[in-house]
Amino acid sequence: MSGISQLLETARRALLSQQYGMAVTGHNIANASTPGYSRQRAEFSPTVPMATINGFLGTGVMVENVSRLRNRFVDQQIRSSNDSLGMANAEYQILSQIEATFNEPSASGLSGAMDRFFQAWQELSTHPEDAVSRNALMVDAKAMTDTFHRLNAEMRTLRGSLRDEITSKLDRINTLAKDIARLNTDILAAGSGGQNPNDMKDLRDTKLEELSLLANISISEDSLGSVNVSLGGTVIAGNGDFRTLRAVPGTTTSIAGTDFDQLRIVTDTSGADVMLTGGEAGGLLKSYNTTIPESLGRQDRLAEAIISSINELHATGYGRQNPPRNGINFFTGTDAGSIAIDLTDTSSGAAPGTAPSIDNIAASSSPTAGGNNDIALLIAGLDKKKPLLAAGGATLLDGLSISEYYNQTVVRIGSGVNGADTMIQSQELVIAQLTQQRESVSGVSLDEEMTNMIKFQHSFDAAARLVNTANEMYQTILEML
Amino acid sequence: MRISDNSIVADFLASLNQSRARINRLNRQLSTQKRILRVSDDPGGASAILRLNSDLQRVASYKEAVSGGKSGLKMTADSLGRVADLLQEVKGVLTGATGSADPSLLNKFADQVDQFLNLGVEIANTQFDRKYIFGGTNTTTPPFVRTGTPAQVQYQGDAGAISYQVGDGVSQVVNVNGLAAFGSVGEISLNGMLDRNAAVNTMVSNTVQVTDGLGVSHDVLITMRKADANSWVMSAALPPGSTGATLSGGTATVSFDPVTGKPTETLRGAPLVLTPLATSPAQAAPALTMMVRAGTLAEGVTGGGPSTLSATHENVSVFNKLLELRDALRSGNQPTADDMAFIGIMQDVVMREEARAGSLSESLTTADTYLTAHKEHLLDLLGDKQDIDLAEIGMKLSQEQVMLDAALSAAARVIPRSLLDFLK
Repeated sequence: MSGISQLLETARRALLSQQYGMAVTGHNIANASTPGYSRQRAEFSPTVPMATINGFLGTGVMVENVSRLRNRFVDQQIRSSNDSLGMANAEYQILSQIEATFNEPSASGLSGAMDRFFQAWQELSTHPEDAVSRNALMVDAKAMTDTFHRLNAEMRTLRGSLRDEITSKLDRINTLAKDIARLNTDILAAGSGGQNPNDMKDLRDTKLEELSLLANISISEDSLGSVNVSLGGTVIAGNGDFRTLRAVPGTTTSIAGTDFDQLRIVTDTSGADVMLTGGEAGGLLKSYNTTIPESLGRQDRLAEAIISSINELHATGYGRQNPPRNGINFFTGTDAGSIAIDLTDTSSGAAPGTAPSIDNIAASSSPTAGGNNDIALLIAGLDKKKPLLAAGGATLLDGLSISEYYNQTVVRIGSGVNGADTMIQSQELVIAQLTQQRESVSGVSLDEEMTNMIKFQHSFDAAARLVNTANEMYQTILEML
Repeated sequence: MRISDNSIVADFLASLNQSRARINRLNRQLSTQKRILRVSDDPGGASAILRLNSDLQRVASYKEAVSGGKSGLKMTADSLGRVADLLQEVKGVLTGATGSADPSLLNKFADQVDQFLNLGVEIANTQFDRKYIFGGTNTTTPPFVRTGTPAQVQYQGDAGAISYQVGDGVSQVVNVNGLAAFGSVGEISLNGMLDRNAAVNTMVSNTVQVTDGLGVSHDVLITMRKADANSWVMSAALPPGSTGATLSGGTATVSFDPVTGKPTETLRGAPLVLTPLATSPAQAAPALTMMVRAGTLAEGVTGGGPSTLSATHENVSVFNKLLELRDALRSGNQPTADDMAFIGIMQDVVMREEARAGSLSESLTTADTYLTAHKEHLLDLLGDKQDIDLAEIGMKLSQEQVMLDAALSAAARVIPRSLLDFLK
């Protein structure tokens, strides 16, 4: 049988529940701008009804739990897109820096320096006997070798700095894996006590999302609510367990004809290789192991082809020494880092490149004719000549001419930047759409919260009125006595 | 669909950033006037720009070579013109000296020849743009040097051709060497006794060795055929099967005095021109123009024996000929008709080389015209690839600005609004 006291009890439950609802709304409003926060909802349900002779009579309301509104499928998609976005971002950043190093198209790039160098040979061919043209050639040759050195040094410095950046990304991955493992434990512990640790789950989701931007991770959640994170097949975080990753030197590999040290990622415990192929860390690793070495290797091949093809012709020509001599190399060195002007008569024991002299520039094919320009003309035509052949007859520069090979090198980088940029734009669009979808479920709408607030307030007011009414009912009865 | 406050802000910021990025790019294009600032802006276009820039540089250096070559050839043609004029003056002096027996007068004529000689050597040693233009590829030392006793003018240069690159795969000779201009004249002297009683069409031949400017010997077959009483026709040919040179000219008729048997005039006709075939394009011996002199050739009674014919060849440079004439005048000898003819041939050769310099210069002008057109074409292409379309960029920029303003204005209206504004 229902009584006034039951009425008061119903009103009390309503007051408490609406107050709880108000608190959840307040939490939502407070976290409206918190990154990774998922809107929460107080789940109201009627309390157990009371059986009366007239049937079941409701006994009021209770807050069953506070649920977190989250779409796991969208989360999964966002993390998967993050992997590609992170990779594209890293590649874009590195390729853009390489592109800036090349500084093309401009007068100060290697293209301009090579053009001027070969043009200086062309000009020497019109004044082979002249010191002015020879000096100009020396200046242009020095400018070209300097540009080779600058490109080589800047790219090697960039590559060196990548090693530190990869280490710092790995540190972050390790920290995140550790945090996720700890959160797994905490969430399980809270869950087993019947609690719903929504905010901890939000925190874990935020960390998973950050991790997905850094590496190619895959995530599986077990029935108890703990997530396992694996990177390239290696589990790096589970319930309380995590693995630390580090970068170690790999096998030296020949890329575009030059040997480069490699980095591989291993777990600290077993030392097993981890296939880091995505995310920002994956992009940086790829740049370190492949992209930059390829560009450096191509510069080396270019410098090597210039050195060997020019020296081969130059050594057959005669300078303006007294008496004129042949057999002198124009360049010394073997690659982009070591290319330098030789022009030193090494027959007297001098080391190559130690005593360059303009008189040793060989423009003439004849020891007696100072005005002969045969060699200068042949060298001036080398930049367009193809295929260039090595001393042993092997084709150099993939059968392309010097200028074609360089253009191809630059265009590859430019296309890479372009491709990475397109990838970033498309992934950002995908992620923007997915985020929109997620926001539509998890995001806080202040208008909605305001509406809820008014709703809870009015419910609270009405419940208070119920208490009042029940109280008046008691008074009425008491006055009757 | 629910729209949360965060998604409104995030959407707005994303489109604002994109809009600003587009405006920034358009602004950069506008301020640099270039469509491609980095290779990644348009990799294909950037590659074309690199190629076109390099082509333009090459065309510029070809044009420079053409201009240098033309100036050198103009100087060469002018110098040769001056030497031709000098030789004309020499002819005048020789005409004056002919018939004069006064030694002091002849001496004065000799002085004049000497002056022309000095001037000629000075011109032949002309330096232009820091090189001796008549030394072949030996451009660093004076090509004509007086040496020995008695002094002779010796050519120290070579027969090298200097070629400039004036286009892709196109090179053009830009010099005339001193050997071709002043040292490619020679004379063949005929000796022997022709049978006065020989039947018409009787022939006598002999071979003369002709040495070209590079010291290579060529056999030339000289034939005398009796044409009429006291008249013989000379012809020259290369022996059958001979290679290495071509020969032209050289047919002449000579009449002999029926009493003295001496030729009534020097064999002249068209000079013999022997053109050695080049064994190396850089060192081609110049064509040798030879005057044929009767020498000691005479007609007489050979006593039933056959006619005899022999010949000798000698190369004489313009300057050594002038030396010879000067010394002859100093010694009181009057110039001969042969001398006059010889100077005439030399003048012809100098003028021929002058014309050659002119035609080489003309070819360079043609090359220059092509290069100018090519350069314009490349600049057009480069402009297409590299330059912005000002109107288009301006239009896009104002369009973007309008869109940005609209987005900002919309955001300014939407973002601050919430239910709170309407609650009392």
